[in-house]
Amino acid sequence: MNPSIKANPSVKRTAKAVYRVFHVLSPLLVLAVGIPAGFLVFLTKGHEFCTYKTEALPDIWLFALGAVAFFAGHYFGILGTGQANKITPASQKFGRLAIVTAFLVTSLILVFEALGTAEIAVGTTTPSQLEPITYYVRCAITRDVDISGLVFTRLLIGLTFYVAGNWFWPNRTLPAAEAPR
Amino acid sequence: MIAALRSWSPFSQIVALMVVSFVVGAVLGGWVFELFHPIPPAAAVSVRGSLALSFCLFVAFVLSVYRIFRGEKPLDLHVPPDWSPVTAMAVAILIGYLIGTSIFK
Repeated sequence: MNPSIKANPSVKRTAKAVYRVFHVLSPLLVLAVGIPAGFLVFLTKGHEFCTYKTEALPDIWLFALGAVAFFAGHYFGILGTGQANKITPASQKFGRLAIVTAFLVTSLILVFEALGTAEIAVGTTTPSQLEPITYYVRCAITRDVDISGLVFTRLLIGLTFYVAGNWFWPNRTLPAAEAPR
Repeated sequence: MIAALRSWSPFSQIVALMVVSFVVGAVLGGWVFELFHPIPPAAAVSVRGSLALSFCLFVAFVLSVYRIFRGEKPLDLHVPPDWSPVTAMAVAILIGYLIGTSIFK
């Protein structure tokens, strides 16, 4: 590698600027891919035709893809290192509200998951009234095999876990006093 | 006993509380759940696992609200810097596995 390019501050600034734009836009990208994919699954084959053909995720490599994307999201965040920490009282309040809400909502979702799992109807042609969230995830993935050959699934898993690692496991801010000027 | 617990780092105290909450959620939560809905033997692990994680998160919610009202940060989930990276990674993988299997399996 050419050392003059490595040390070139304008290249570093450009890389950071590109990273910051992608960082802000990446959650919107998840929606931009997820909403059309959801509509395609829903419009082509509704969830009522889903049956349990397998008792686990159709492809275990999807789990591995999610794990790799999660770590990638964290380590790409290092590109933004040096950015000053601009926590304001308002953003601090919002952050605390978000954490508390996330704990409560996830707790309630898992109770629903337990109820749906208890009502699970393995091998039947009609789903029971309540199904676990896994049912819908598995159903969408199975349908996506026919729709796009798992392209949407891989994109969504990669993007979602990247965003989770990038936003919820940050490693890029410095106290304002230590940030480079 | 309480003095010994207080001497632990905040992160170790949280991990210990989560482990206790997990067991309580699986056992006591499962018992309460069964009062209202039967648990099929084939789904016992998944149902009790979901209830255990649910109770962990509920405890985290209550603890966070309590700490906020006392003027503290919600929950300090940062791994202490003196932990070895291997231990921190093992804890992260264990938590990820529990949540992942609950969602994907």
